[in-house]
Amino acid sequence: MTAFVEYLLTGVSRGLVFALLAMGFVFIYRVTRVVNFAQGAFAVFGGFITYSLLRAGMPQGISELLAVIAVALIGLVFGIITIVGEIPLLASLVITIGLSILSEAIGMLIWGTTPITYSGLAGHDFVIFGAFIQRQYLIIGIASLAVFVGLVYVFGRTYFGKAMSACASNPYAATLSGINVKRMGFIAFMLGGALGGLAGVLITPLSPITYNADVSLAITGFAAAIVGGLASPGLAVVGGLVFGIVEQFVAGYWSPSNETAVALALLVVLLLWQSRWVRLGGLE
Amino acid sequence: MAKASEFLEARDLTRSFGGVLAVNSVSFSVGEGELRGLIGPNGAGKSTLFHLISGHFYPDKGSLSFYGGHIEHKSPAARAKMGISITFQAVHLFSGMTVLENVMVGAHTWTKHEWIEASFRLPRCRREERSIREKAMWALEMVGLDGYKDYLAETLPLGRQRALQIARALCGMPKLLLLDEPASGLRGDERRELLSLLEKLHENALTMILIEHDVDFVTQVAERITVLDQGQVIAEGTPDEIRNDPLVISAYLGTAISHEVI
Repeated sequence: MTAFVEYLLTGVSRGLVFALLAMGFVFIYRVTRVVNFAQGAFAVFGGFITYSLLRAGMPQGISELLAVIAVALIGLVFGIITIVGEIPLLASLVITIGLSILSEAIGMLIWGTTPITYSGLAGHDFVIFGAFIQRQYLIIGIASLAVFVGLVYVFGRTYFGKAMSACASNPYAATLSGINVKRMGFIAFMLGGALGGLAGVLITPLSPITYNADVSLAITGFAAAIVGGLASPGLAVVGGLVFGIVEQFVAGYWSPSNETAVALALLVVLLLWQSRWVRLGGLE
Repeated sequence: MAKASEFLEARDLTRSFGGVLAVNSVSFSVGEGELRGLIGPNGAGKSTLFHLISGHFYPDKGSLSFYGGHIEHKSPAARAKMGISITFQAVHLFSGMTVLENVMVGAHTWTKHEWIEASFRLPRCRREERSIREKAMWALEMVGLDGYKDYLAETLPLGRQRALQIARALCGMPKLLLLDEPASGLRGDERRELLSLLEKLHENALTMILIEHDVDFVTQVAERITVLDQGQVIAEGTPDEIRNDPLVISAYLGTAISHEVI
């Protein structure tokens, strides 16, 4: 029972981190139709930048916030490189792969090849049903839930959110309603950067991050996003939670070395299942 | 009221697709407050001309001025912000959003608040959201859809979806409204509603260009009619003049036949 609760809770909070990455995929895809393969790099940059700011003596909370803002700006730059002008969609996809490789190179040059980590916000760990849970998991839960609520509010209730959804639903009509769809795409990339950066900031205290961690993060995030056909932020959260929990149970009850293989197998199953009922995008 | 040449003026607009000259040196002008009909047989270039005005296509050559300023190289979004609005023959709605939300999106042409203000609900954003809602409700009342504001847009019947498109355009407070076959596929009562809506908008001095296949429908509302055939303007005049124009009659009966007769 103790082990079960521990795996479940750690699975949920890791799942929330995947959900943040997955939502980055979804927001960018919805507005620009680009699958941003550099999404994992956002998380890596989030962890790296926080680490450097902490080393420079900045307070923890400020470092983490600044890292998220910095990665949002990196996201904006990536967005401009990816979709500026009349670049065909396929070329944009390839550009994001290139940006992911470039990010690894930059990460290696600046932060080296040894895994880096830092401790999360100070505070005591706690015990639930006899399971010993690190405090960082609670912080992940609170931070990601706050982000989800904020996004639901902005997209569900504000006029700006509606305009962005309009771009996702029918870019052609949105353009002719006076919306600059390209610019909305840049904002989506910035949001994707912020979400990916936050994922990295939150996960680094739990699992040390290396310059090339972006690929596995991107794959898990993409797998979670594909649950909702890349179109639904809500289903992306569900997908993230499924992957997080399955991964922890596989690692706990079977072997940690199998967790990625099982996650990928699950992705294949989901893709097959999903192709039967959701058109990619699920939109017009 | 601006003179015709100062409001919308096209000079030698030309656009080809592959080897096909869809719009071939078209020159015409529309005065402020006018309701202009644009007719022609299938493939005459009417919709292409609309897209050249709305900015979805750019001309290969020629110029287009709006309120005296050249706009032929401006983006569609920029032209929408200047007050040029278009409704489509094929219905383009934002599915998954309600009727009211669809109309509210049209307000993007005049709203100023940015995403960061929306995220933190700053005063300008709250103020603008109030006026967007008011304007959208006004537009829905204009087209008679105020009772449907909470329906999902895609659940409406075709006639109401068309009306919704017009409401969305109106919410953007356009100066020029381009209507691409708004009556096609509508039932008799829906056509009458559309007709009275167009008359109401015309009374409110909104400038409109109306593409319509059904010549009778156009002649009921338009003051002047421009006729396109094979990408070129072949006639322009009042509905009566157009009805009796030999070139127009031959275009509609088919030039191939008249050549054979000759």
